[in-house]
Amino acid sequence: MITAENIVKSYHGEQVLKGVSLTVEDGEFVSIMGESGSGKSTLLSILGGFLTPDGGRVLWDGTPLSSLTEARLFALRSTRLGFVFQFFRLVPTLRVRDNMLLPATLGGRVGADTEDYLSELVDRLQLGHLLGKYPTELSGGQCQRVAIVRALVYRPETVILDEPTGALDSGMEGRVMALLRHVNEKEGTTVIQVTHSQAVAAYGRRLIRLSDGEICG
Amino acid sequence: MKLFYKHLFTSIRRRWGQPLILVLTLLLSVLVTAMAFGLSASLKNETALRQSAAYGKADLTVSIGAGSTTRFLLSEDATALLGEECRIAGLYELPLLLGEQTVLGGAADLNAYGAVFPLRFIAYGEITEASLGEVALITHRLAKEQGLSVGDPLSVTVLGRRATYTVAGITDVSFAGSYDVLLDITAVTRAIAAGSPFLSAIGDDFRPAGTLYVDLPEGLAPEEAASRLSASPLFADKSIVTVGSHVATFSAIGTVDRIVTVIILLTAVLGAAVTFCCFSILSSQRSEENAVFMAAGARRLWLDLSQYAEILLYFAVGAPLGLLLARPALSLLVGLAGFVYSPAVLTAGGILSALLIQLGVALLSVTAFLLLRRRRGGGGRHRRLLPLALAAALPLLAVLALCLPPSARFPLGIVSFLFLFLFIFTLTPPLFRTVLRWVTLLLERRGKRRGRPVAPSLYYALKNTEAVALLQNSARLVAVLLSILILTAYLLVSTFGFLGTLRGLFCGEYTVSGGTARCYERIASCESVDRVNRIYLSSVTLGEGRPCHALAADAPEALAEELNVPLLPRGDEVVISGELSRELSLREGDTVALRVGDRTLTLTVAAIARLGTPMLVFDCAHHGIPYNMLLVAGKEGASPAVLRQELAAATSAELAGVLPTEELFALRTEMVEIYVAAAVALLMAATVFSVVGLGDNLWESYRSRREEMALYAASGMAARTVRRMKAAEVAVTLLFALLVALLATVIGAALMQFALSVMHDVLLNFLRY
Ligand SMILES: Nc1ncnc2c1ncn2[C@@H]1O[C@H](COP(=O)(O)OP(=O)(O)O)[C@@H](O)[C@H]1O
Ligand SMILES: [Mg+2]
Repeated sequence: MITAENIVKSYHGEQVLKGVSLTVEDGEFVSIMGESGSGKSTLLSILGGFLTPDGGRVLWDGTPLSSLTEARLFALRSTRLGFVFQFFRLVPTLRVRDNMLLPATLGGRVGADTEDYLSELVDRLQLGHLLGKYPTELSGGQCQRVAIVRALVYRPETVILDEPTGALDSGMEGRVMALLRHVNEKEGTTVIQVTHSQAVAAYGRRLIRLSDGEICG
Repeated sequence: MKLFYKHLFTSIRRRWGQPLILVLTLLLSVLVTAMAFGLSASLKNETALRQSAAYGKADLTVSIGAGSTTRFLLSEDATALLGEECRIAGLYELPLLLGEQTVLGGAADLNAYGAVFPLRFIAYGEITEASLGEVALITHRLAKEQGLSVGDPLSVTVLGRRATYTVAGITDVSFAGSYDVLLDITAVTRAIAAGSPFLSAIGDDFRPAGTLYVDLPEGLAPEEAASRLSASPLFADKSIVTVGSHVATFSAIGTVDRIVTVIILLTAVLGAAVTFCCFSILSSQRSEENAVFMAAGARRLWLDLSQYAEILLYFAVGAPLGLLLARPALSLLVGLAGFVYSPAVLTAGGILSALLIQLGVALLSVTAFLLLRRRRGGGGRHRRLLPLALAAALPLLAVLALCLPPSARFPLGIVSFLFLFLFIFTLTPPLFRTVLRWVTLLLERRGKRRGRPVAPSLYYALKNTEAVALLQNSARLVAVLLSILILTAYLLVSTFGFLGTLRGLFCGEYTVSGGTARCYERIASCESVDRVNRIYLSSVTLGEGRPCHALAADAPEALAEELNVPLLPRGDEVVISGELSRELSLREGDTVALRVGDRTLTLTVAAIARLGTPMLVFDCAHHGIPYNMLLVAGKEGASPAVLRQELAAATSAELAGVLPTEELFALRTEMVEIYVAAAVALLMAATVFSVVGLGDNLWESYRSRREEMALYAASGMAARTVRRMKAAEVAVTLLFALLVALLATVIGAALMQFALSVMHDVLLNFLRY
């Protein structure tokens, strides 16, 4: 269970999040929508512990993120949390396959089981021919799918995705969303995603609207 | 287009690190090249002036040798044969003891000396006919070292007796090119007379000499004069040499130009490597801007041309600064190298050549960069072909080296070295990537067995290094630099090893130069003397003008074991070194001409030996060439002080100079050490700049990847592991560069053989006797 309590965050004196509170139960599939610049990415970063809020706190299963040591926080990222950044953020010096296995490797989770799951995910998102390439040789949509595989391959309890289908065509969008739903239903993974598209948001079971740094409905 | 250049300036101003290094590199390349040319010109000038100092106006020298039946020469005898018009300076070499220090001195009839040798005084006092026997002329160098000025007393031990002279003149250069003190000969005859009733009976008119310097009048050819002298029984057993042939053996070894070529080659290689790497960094820094320009319709050609404009701009800044510094730097170097006669000479031709060479190198390295970069975008086939083609070229060069005549070997060796460096430079990155891939695969396989990779910091460091061009750039820069340094170190070690071999030529604690047969007998009968040998050591010319050095000895034990001479040649036999045999294609049993002074001997090669130097051993006595040096070894357990005293006593009435071998050697090799130091200093300067370039390369490989490092953290890599990963990247890069450099050294060492023989010639040239 992830709980955010009264999160406040400002950049250069300008408040981006103005006291956001929300709770996501285990196994939920939550979609967050809102205008561009409304603070969605900022909120996700704070939930994932990549940013510290100016006020309020984030609890994972009742443990505040701020109380974790750096080592525990890093361990959390490579075991319990999968995160897909808005701009994918692949390591340019690693081949696609190495990028996909990076958190899994760091978390010490690479085994025959992971390899099988990796090939399953790669097949589902049609990435098989790209495994030996470097990210710079990929299109935006391909990078996005690589980032999604990277977040899922070590079967984290929670995946947080920032506009996971922003760079995809509708066919591929359907495949990705079907995968997320499958993961959510079959593996019980908690999914939190940000999207602009009504159709994509509809895959989730709860919708949160963010407007001007506050939750409305 | 104009906008583009404006952008270029802005970008240089914003990121000035690489431009600064490029300017400095070009500055240094131009500086070192100009200095190399300047050094060559100055050295030639110095050599010419040194020769004129050593021989003055003399056309002919006559000296006694160990084969001589008399102990001295008299200039009157020569005047009687050659006519009153010729001027003759007789000089008599005298090692002087100044406290504990041995100083080379000479004695001459000062009036006659002044007629043949130019005397340029810095300071002088009054000298009268009456005071001639009490005065000493000294060099500026000695005056400074001993704190002496005109009028001061100079206490020395001459031929075993203490005497005090008054400093009457200080000159800027040494006497006859090698002596620091010049006494009037009457001072010496008086000293000897004290112990010899024969000499005291003759009185002050007796002016003996070890060497006569003869200035012939117009119309009398040196050869004619030489034959006239040797026809007389007075001079038949003396060594008569025309100054022309002295000079020929001295300067025939035109190796200075070769050293200059090597220095220029090294700076060019380092400069090109640094330029290439800087451009790689610049282009990676600007890749996005350039992409935007391309998208906005800028043509590839413009971008390429702008790179040339950029290097020209840096050159325009760096080169003049380099030239500006060249003059003071050269003066400093010339001063350090102990040039006495010549100032720093920087010719317009040298400056122009330096500019053109380095400009060419700069433009070539930019061209190479542009070509390689374009290829990176296109098919990978060429990239693999280039190193292969280079690899094929190396054995081809080796085969050529074996087939071509010796004269063509030097340029060929230079070309081979260029190829070697080009080879390292182009082959290092692809080889590095391949090795990295193997190692990671190996780690992965091991990791699979254990369930997790061995160490994530190392594992990802290897993966990163495989992809980061800057690290591979660093690897090749380090590989080139290290191989240059290792090869230079090898050269230095071999130089000092070679000096050690030369030291082996003097197999005894003391050397006695100019000792006669009687002197030899007197030394042999000394209590503390274990053994005394006569040897001959001189510059000669073998075959069709190969200058080398010749050694002869009266007994095998005079040749040190280190020399590896298998047999002492007798009669017409000659033992030559492997180098000479290879160069002149001589085998055992072949006959070869040997020019010694003005004579030509026909000898048969009896053996080829590993002398360690381009040298030969022959039987000088058989050909009537007198030995010119005695080597004295003391008895085991004999006190050095007693031995020295005995030797001094034995030679006191002889015209012979006794010198501890160590001192002789130190005096003669001083120059070599100075040159080695100068070469090392130049190389160090170049190294410092490459290291700056390298440090910058490595730093840039961090700076440009800060975000990536953040990504590792975002994926759950601990900060400590990230730091370790960065360190491992650098360590892996340097380690690989070291491996490549070692490999290159093995190949280079083979190519180096040519450089070594060149070096040995140079060293032998400095070691005159
Ligand atoms: N690192 C940052 N520094 C300064 N301002 C930022 C930063 N990140 C985001 N912002 C600002 O915060 C606001 C919210 O950004 P973001 O959370 O990315 O919105 P969204 O994802 O909803 O489009 C924007 O106005 C953006 O300009
Ligand atoms: Mg966003």
